[in-house]
Amino acid sequence: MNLTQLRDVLDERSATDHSDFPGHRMLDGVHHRLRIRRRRQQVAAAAAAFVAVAAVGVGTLVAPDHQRGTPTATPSTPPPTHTIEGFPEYDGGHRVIAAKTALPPAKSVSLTFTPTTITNLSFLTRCEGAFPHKLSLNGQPVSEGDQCSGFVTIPEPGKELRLAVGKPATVELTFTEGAPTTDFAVAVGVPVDPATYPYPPRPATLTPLELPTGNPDAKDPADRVIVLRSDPTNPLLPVSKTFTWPGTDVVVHANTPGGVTVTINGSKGATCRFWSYGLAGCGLGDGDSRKDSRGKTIRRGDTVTLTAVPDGTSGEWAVIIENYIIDSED
Amino acid sequence: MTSEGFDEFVVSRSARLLRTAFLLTQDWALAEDLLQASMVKAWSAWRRIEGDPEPYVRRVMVNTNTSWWRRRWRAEVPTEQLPESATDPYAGHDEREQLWQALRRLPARQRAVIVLRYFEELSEAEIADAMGCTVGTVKSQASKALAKLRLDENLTREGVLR
Repeated sequence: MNLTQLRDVLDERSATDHSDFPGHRMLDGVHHRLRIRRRRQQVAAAAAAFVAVAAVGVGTLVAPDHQRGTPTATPSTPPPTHTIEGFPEYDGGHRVIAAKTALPPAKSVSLTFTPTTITNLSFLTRCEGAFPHKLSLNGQPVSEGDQCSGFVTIPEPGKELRLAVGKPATVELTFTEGAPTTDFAVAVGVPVDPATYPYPPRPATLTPLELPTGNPDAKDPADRVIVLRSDPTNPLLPVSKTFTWPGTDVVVHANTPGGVTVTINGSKGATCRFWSYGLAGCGLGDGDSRKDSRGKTIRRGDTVTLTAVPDGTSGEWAVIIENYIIDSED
Repeated sequence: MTSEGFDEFVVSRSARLLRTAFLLTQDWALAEDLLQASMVKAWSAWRRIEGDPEPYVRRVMVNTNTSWWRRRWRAEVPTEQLPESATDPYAGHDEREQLWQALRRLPARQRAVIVLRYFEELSEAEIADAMGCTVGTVKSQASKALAKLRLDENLTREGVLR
């Protein structure tokens, strides 16, 4: 093993054209993100509503041969196979109801739609590459990022979004620095009942979850990585654990369709729902502002009991509580 | 939006940390995104960080990347056409290119151990701190990673690491 060669490769590859990266550019980007986050928090507080990414990460492209029914049910309806403006009609638990594509040199695309429901609407974006962009709904920011293809779900829209059933609304994707050189698109999706969702066929072999290793040697118990894994003999059994709360986000992982509901000290949180047989993560967020069943805020260092209740899962799932996300506003 | 020393830290350390982010992600756009996201998280915790903030930022970066990596699996779509490689200045360096590709194939946490050990030159204890795991885990991950690099089919065939 030539470790010198390894060091050279790491050094040379990471130096290419970026060794003179201007720090002030990074600072501008960081400040931009902080401003957006603060504005979101202000909007959320004022509207007494929340805008949350129910499923963290980007959506999966859907396999061409879907099955309709529960993950283990026999399909009763021919599977939908088509896409709409490049978006799979069914993806991540929603069905695309409207979409619009734009071509370069445009730097934005705007789509007007008439919602038939306003809860759990998803807004999807599609493009090639990575370009900073923002997504707005009726002129209000709902998402921003650098990775083109993904979706954001708004469980309960605040009043500031001015969403109403039967009233036309406009979603707009705007690139803020540069723009794709090929077509890009925005779409709207509505939630689909898990019982009728066209899940992809189950693969012969499931991809095992790769989970972080616990750190039982950490001096501060709150610095441990806490992992709750599904029962290997029955993934439908609830799992509980009592530990010191690290004051961070909770992320649920799974490798099959189904749901996992996390309860902390008796306070039931949102359900993470999975729609494919790929590895998927779902963030529950609000790590520093959780409350127990009596309304008391749970703080870092408190002893908590977390219970994960699965629903319809047929493979591995796990709840991860890591202390590296400290995302509260000072 | 001020937190004492934060802006200076971002300006002075970004170039170096971006290199680490790139080695973790092997993608410049993702690297910038990762570093920005990590800096934002660091800003939130700035007053709670004691001493040099760089280990904290590095730790956030490594762990965030591991999460991203898990999630990116959902987004990866097989493509029949490989991207253009004509602009790659290393295209002619077969051995190093193969070593780079072998690194790309390592699981995220194993790649992180390699980057922190052989690029950042951190000790095993420092790596354990950065990754939130034990020194024993670092040793085992490093061992597995090096074994994979050494035993990688391409590298073995070409004799790069022998």
